Amino acid sequence: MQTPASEKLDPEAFATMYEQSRSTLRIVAAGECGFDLADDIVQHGAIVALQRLDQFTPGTNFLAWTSTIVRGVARNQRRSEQRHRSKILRLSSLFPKSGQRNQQITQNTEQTQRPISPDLKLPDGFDDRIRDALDTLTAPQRTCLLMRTLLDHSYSEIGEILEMPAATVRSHVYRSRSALLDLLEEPQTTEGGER
Amino acid sequence: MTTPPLNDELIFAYLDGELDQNQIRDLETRIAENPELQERIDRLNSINDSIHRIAHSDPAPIKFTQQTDPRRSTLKWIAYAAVIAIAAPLVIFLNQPPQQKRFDAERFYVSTTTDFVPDIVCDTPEKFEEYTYEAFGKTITADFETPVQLVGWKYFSKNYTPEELKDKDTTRALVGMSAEGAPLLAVFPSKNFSELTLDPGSDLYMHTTRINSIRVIEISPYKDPILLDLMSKK
Repeated sequence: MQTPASEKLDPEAFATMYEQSRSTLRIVAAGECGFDLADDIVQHGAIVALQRLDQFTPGTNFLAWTSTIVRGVARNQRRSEQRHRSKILRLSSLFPKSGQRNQQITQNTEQTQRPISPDLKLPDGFDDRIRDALDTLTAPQRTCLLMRTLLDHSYSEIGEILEMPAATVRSHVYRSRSALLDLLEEPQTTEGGER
Repeated sequence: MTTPPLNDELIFAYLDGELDQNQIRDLETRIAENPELQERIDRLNSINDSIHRIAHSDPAPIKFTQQTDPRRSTLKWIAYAAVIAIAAPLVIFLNQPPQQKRFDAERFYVSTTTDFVPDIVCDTPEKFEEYTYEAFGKTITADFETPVQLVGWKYFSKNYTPEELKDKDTTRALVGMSAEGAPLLAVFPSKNFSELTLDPGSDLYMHTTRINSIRVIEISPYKDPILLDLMSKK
């Protein structure tokens, strides 16, 4: 998203553009810090970007600029937590392993964006395992995978936003998918008790 | 013509729609002949669907004001202070051996902290539903057939007036007692709340889930959650 070179970005125009970029920025934030904190990070990013509005060059890529800010905010948040807590239990890693509860509570069908094929039989706790597996990826890998999967952006589009070569994005996505597949093929240790 | 080796890269390209018609035809022929390959593709599709489910929730509206900075917001520190004030004495309380007696809600909150005002004792499903609706704008039901008593809490200081509280932190918590008499805590973190930590030496467990898109953290001496399993969306 770009602004005309002849215009200076005023706060109102910034707010509109930031709002339009929100879904992408949320995915960028989730790639760094997980979905639980993503909205807060995007919100904070709005404040930081607003404060630095004079640093934005009209005509350049607004999404790339705000994405850099959001990633910075997310990293600062991570570092701050690591510094101040002897033991951090990340909420995203605390999701329950109980397949039964996953079926009853976590897998909220009202939140389902894409329908599951009726023929597809997912094991209990499948989403929990994916969530755990996502946590094992590096932040760039996770961000690229989420943007490719959730936003359906091309590798070059993702590369422009994250300011990295498309080939690197592709590599991150491929490695992420392979890692998730490998992790899911490992035997589950919590199966058997509940149903 | 040589057939390209079958690897994940080819499968990913197929799922990304990057193959030409000849490559697609060739790959689909091989998929039809290879159940393991079909299974791998199904699993990749399942992963994609799962990521969509995990990601999907209604994003919060963005407010372009200084007050909404989550790291510097006063509200955040109110939330942190509230959680620490509740959690610290509670950890001590929770580490006490379970007792076989009816849970005394009033004694519990007096013994944990005097800085916060108990909201309501939810000893019936109706009261609990009213409490959650008032607290979150959404109703959560709980199974009161089991011997667990739930007590509603508001996380706020007595220094605030009711009018001031409307704009303050919305973090809430429920306390209860298991069938064995062990105390339980369920925290419903506010928007500004990010982390809850336990003492490294603690024998307690934390369990987190979402109910009706509301984040809930249970702290208890049990490996498996109890309060979370009693609640469900409505």
